[in-house]
Amino acid sequence: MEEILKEVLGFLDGRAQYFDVRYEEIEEEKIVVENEIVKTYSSDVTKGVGIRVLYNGAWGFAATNRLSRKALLDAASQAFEVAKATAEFKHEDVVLADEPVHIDKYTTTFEKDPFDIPREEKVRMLSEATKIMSGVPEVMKAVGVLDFRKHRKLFLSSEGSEIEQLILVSGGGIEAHAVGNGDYQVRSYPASHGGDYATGGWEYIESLKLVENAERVAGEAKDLLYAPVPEPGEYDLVIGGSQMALQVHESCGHPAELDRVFGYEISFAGGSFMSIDKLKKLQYGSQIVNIVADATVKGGLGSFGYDDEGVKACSSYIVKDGMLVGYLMSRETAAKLGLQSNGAARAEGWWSIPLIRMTNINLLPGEYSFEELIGGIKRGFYIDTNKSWSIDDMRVNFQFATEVAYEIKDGKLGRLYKNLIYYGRTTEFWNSCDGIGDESQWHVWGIMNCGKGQPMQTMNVGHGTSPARFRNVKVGAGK
Amino acid sequence: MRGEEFYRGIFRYLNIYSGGIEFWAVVEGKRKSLTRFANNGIHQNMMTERAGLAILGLKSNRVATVKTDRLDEEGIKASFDVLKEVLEVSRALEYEFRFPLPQVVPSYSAYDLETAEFSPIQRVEVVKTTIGKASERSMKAFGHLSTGETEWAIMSSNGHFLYFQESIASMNLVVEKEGNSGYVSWSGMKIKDCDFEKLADRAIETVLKSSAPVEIPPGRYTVILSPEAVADMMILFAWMACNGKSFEEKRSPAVKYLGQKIGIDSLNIMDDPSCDQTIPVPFDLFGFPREPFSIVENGVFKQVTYSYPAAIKFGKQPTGHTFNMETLEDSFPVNLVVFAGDTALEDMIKDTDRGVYISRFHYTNIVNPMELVITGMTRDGTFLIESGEITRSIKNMRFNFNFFEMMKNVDMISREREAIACEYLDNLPVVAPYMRIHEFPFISASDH
Repeated sequence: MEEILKEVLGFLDGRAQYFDVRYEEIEEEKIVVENEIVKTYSSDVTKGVGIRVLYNGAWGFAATNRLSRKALLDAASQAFEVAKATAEFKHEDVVLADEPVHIDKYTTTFEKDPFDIPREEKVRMLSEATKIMSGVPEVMKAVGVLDFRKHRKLFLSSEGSEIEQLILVSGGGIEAHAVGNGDYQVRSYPASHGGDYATGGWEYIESLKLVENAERVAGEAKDLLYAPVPEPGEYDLVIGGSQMALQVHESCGHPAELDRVFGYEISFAGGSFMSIDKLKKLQYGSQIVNIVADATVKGGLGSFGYDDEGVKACSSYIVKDGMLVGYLMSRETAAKLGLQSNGAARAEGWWSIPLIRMTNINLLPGEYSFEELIGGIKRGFYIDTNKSWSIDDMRVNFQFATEVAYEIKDGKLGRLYKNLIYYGRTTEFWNSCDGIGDESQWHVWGIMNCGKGQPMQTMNVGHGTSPARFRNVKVGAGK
Repeated sequence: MRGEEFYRGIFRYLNIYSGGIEFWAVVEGKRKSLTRFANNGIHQNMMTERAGLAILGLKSNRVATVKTDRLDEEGIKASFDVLKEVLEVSRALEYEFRFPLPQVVPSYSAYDLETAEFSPIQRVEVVKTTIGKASERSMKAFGHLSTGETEWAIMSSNGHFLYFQESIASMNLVVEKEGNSGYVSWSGMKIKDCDFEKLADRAIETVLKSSAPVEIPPGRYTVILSPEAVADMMILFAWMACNGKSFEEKRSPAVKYLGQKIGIDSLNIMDDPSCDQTIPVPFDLFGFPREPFSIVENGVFKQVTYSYPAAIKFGKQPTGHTFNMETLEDSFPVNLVVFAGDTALEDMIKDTDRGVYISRFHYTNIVNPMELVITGMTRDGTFLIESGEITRSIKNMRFNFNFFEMMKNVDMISREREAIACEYLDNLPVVAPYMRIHEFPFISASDH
């Protein structure tokens, strides 16, 4: 394949000012078990090539999964023709920020390749977990999911970069769906929306202890059916790590995408309040809030060696001591600010053009123990596990709902509540943060389905968080 | 595209390498081109071609799926090798599963060569015209234009072979000036059916009506929803309330509302492949015919959809709504159509003493699945209506509404309808009118 790809580069040489080709193979195994029955056992393989061409300051892209020499040269020709058409009506010339030439190989660190684990063992784990959850009469549907992806990439560019990567993703989770008392409630573990994911191997699945948590999860689903809903009002909240991951994702990760700031996503996903004039001026959060984009953190779902335009993975601040200090950037957008890219141009697969995507957007740990966070609240809630999310088109007005809410009274955890929603405005909310959990509570959560762009691309992103405390947050009930 | 004969060749390989496994295979081939623009210039232009094969295997009442995009002899043989292994570790379904017998399917026409082969230069020309209209008025344009084609083939060990080809074009457009914006979208099978200039005018008109937005207090207001907002709401209704599986498992709002009168007599919602504004899909992935299917009729929530496996499991008739080879028991109405009413939009506004006009919903999501409580924001043109006229822009508002409560509060449905591109359905159109709804609850405002 490398030989044909080099031929493609040769074809474009002298025609375009810059070009790159990405060959990708993605192997996926996904198992869904419902009430001990395997409902989905899918095994998926896709291979193809994406070709990106910059001609006269304008982009063109073509992709195909026909891998013959002729088909790839045709695709290169199409990418070139598309770029020529774009050049007819570009807004401004695309300029790429400098990036050193890289000739390198990168592989996710893992101990056990999940594709080598017997299929029977994977099915058995989920069957056992769902059997335990189904033992609670109110649980009418018990679901277990395991998902593994092996992503091989070969990137070649006209600048001379040659980068080979193997990124291995493992993850999964369980859900108990309970019906009763005229209600329907779901409790998930370790996170909602399909579980928790990491770059790593089968050892990560073992660490989740899905079977060991099944009974507790089912019991909590049942308890939610009979739990009260909170009285609307303003409360202090301690938000658990899993929900904090989504809070960071929606209210810091997305608005920090520099293509969004420049308006490229306005017609679909929207813009961003973090405009360029606010850089190094906006007090995004309180002084204890530090948020980094770090594609190098071990096990992070958004970790890799190089992004999809050959920029080396790195860590950079988005928010430092509460101040907005940086963005997620591609080579094109970094050049507009006279900066180097921090390696956030990522494509879902060979069929997609790289867009600015989150890597691991991490809220750095603070100094509080969990008990201290709770202990500092007279009247409030400890909430966790996302149930619903929504944020406006400039990423200001948000609303989230969580699966569970535990009352906090005089510094102590109390009874379980359901259907809690909380809402606010991004900077007011983050400036009300007065406590962040310490390193012992910090975990990088993996979200597999971050959506952006047209055609929609989903992306694997990570969020390192620990529980955090916020003051005077508006709370309602999703009745 | 590869064409019917190519897939008949695949069928031959499937039969050769199935090794006694009963199979149901679906191939989807796509060629899609897309041009995106922002700030009055094109910033993304692309063309993608891909095809993939999904094989559902059945052995001793166990099922499993393998997927590949290797459509040659070797790829198909390798897929069956994996399928055999996977079927060994799978577990028998709790109901007796068998592949359906061949059905007679309708022959809808959904292919337009011009749309399928629309070139990059042609797309650029259309975008130029659209942007030109905005820039003439010192506005900025943002959006996309997409064209392409899709082909499906269904093949099974019990002798099915079905092939279908469709073309699709879609666009959306935001125009903006000094923080005020307007929005339109469109989708259809023929690019020539899209009046880009008229659509651009509608978005521009929204901006021209705009002024510096004022904040209104949260509370309940009469609202007029645009077709884009109605389509967004109806997709969530279809997703959460119309799936027969969720209903049977008692985790759907249909448990409470199916069979009930949920709105006025003129509220009619169908899955209607015969509607000329939609892109008809003649059969589902199990080859069941797709005929017009009434979901809400004369205001009554009449029926829910059943995929073929769900129909067997729950003892119902399959309704032609299986569209996912991995979650076989789920179903979805892909040709969603909301009937027109008898009021002109203009009269709807004139008849409103005080209310809010909403151009577009943003980031809607479910807060309470059993009651279908939906949250989201307004965007791209939210206006106050006073004494029968749109008077001024208001800041975007967050809402949390109960869908069924809102349907009870609908009192007017427009005679105008639009075919809205639904991003979550790969830009398939949802056909929707304007609606007037009383007591629509806003809970907070945004900064813009």
